Amino acid sequence: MKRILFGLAALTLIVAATSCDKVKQPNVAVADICEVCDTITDFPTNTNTKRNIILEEFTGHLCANCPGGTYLAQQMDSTYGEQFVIVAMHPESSFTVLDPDGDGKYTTNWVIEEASEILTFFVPSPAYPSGMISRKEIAGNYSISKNQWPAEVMAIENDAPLFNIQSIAKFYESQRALCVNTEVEALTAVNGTYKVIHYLVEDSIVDWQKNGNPVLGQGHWHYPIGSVADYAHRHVLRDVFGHVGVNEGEPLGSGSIWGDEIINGSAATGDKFHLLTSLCDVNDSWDEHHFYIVSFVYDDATKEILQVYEGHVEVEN
Amino acid sequence: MALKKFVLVCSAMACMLIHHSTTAQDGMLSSGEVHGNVQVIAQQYNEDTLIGAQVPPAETAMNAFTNIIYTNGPFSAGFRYESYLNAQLGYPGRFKGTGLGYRFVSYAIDDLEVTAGNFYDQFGNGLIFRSYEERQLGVDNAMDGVRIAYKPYKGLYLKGVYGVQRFDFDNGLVNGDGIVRGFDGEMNLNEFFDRLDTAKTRITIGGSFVSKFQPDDNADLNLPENVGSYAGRMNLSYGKVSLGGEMAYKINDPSADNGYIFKDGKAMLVNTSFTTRGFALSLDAKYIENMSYRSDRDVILTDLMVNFLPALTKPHTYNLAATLYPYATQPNGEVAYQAELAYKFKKASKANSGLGKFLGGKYGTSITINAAAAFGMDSTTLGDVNSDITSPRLGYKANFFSRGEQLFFSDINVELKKKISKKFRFTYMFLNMAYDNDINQGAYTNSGAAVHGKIYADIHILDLSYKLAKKHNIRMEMQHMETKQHLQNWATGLIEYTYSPHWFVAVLDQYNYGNDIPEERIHYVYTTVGYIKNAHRFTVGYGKQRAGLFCVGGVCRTVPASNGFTFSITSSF
Repeated sequence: MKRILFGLAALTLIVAATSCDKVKQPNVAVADICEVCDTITDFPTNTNTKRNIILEEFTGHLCANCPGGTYLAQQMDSTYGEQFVIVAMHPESSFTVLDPDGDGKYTTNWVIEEASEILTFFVPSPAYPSGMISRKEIAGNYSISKNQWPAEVMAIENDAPLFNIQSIAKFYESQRALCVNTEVEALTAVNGTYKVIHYLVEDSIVDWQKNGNPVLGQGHWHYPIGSVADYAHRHVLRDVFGHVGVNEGEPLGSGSIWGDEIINGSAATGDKFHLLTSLCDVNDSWDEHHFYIVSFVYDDATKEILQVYEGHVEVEN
Repeated sequence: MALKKFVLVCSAMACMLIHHSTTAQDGMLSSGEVHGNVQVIAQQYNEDTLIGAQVPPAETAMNAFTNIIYTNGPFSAGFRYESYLNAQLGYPGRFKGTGLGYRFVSYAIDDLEVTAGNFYDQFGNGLIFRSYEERQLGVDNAMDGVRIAYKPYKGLYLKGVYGVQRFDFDNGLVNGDGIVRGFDGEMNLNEFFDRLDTAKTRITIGGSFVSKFQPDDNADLNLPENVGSYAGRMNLSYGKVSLGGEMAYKINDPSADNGYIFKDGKAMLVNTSFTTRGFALSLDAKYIENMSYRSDRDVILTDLMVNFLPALTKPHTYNLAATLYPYATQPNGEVAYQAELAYKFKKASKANSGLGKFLGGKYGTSITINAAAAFGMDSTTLGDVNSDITSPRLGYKANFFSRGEQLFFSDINVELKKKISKKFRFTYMFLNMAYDNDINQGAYTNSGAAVHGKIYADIHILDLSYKLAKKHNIRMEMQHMETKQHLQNWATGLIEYTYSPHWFVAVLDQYNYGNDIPEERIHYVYTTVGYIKNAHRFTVGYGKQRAGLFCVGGVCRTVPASNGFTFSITSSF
């Protein structure tokens, strides 16, 4: 009798385990990759030992105080070097209105939908210039004013990293295709849900920007006060891309601010995860020679960015 | 094709049996028996614009079912020959033609029972698996595959099923694509353990697992191809008290029923009762959360249901109570309760007086009080699953067994049955119903517009039966319903005369006398004449039948209005 019951229990477990499909991502993730992209799994050894920190700065070309934030961010960048990554987001706001005076100035549309979604999700009451430090929640807020940035970066700069991440990015000019191969390595045992997402960033785009008084900390010291025609917009977020969240018929790679799940459960020290992500039909008005990519891994429960990588985009024909 | 396959299988089985019998049990086949039954329902349709009755192109319809079952010792085989020429209006319109709708072969030997072909079965209360036929509704989700039942030890009962489900009829059985497989184990502890054999406490426990498979053919969603469900149950009785319960769980099962959300499903059913001489009390409760379970996620109505979710309401037979506002179980979610108390007043003694003497009388009086209510769940919507492509599409979250504020249905009724003399008896019944038509969708105006919101109805029923003479009985029903939210007041009268044991004739008039529109104060008159002889029953009916929702056990179908003759025969041998 014991054998019968044991056999039944075993049969039950086998059938139960093999006859249930638990779906965690209901919507079809578009895994179609631009044809030109190849999978790379042979990454160089990642020697990074620090927790890199990302500043996601919210800005707008009519925000006269924002260049003051950009100036501060650049100073911090020179202090921390590769450990500090800057991305400037232009979500839709009163500071992104086009040609407000009808005089042909400020006609460039910097707004992308994903930036607006990120602002809406993380910052219920935006005040510029502000930014998120690795999306760490600080006193109930993700976004903090620029005066708090240095202290909050210092607070986490020596944190032991949970992950390392590196990406190899190639842009194929003739096909306007960006291919990003990414490796994520768990540096310690982790348990939870972790996701990876990429930013395409274009740096140093010269265009109109309002600049405040640098003496008061509002403006950028390199530019005059008022409307500046040749302002170099730094670290401009152009697109957010991953597999997940792409609607059929829409450009591949766009549309989601949440990226790809790499771990759901536990991972052991040294576990590595590889992803190939791509962005096809990249806007031809963007200058690929000014591109860089930002890849980061974050904790889905807290949204905190645990490791970030800024990488050069190699341009090929 | 199906017939050929069946004949081949039967021939093979017969050959095996003949070989076996001639070598081991001579004459076995000669002891075989054939039984069967036939049901034929033919309907003729007249156009009746007043009630919206339409005439199909063929002007008549016929449903016919013939069951033939051969048994010989442990072996049995049978089939059901069905005809839909054409299907009666209100039946699934795609049923057509004539052919085999059900066939099986089976043998039972040494506590092992094997069935190949079609079969019906149920695990526990059916919360995760019930294969059954409800012919009046056109429901038939017969399994087509293999069923094995085995009793390996006293008190231990095991069952396994594996197959596809009947979906359609097109000159023969048409199965759905989805595969259903499951097994069930039940242990009767009193049988299993010798020392509990005579115990006053009787305990049965059981558990089941069911999984369905359907390929993912959706371009937009990652649909689960294997959807599993499991359930556990226990029945306990101690003397006059019994307690039963079953809990079921189903993993993500996006479907047309639930708007393709990926939420898990839950169900719980609890039954308690206390019964003693002249008194019975039962209390039932039910919780359903996203428990629609079909072998094809894209079908609706009564098609390809894998499970059965019983309605916790009293099934009524009286015309107004049964046909106007019947309750349909809400598989997407409901919390329901039912209580019923039955008491029989003993025959009055000489010491009784007044009401006590009346209720007791010469034959006693039975009174039954029943109250049932179904509510929505206490749930919170989790955003719009269609606008956020990163959404896990869970739809909502609900607090287990916590009822929401929306009342779907309630029915409070009192029934009093009294026999006055050897010749005369009566039943009086009062019902108070609340019916949310936004949920149940059974109430329409005569022009076909759905009624919105709650409908409240009070119904009084008086059923009188008088024995005129030996073999001659007359029965009258007088029913009245008052409502303000739908078609206003109704009255139904029925006179039925029976000349035992062969003849009966009945005239029923369902009259919407309170309708606001004078032209729609319609008499739905229907006359029936029947003849019964031995196992054969013939009936002819003529008249109008109103459109509505027809329900059995909480499962419903919409029936259209009709006007015309209906002829039916049932026979068995």
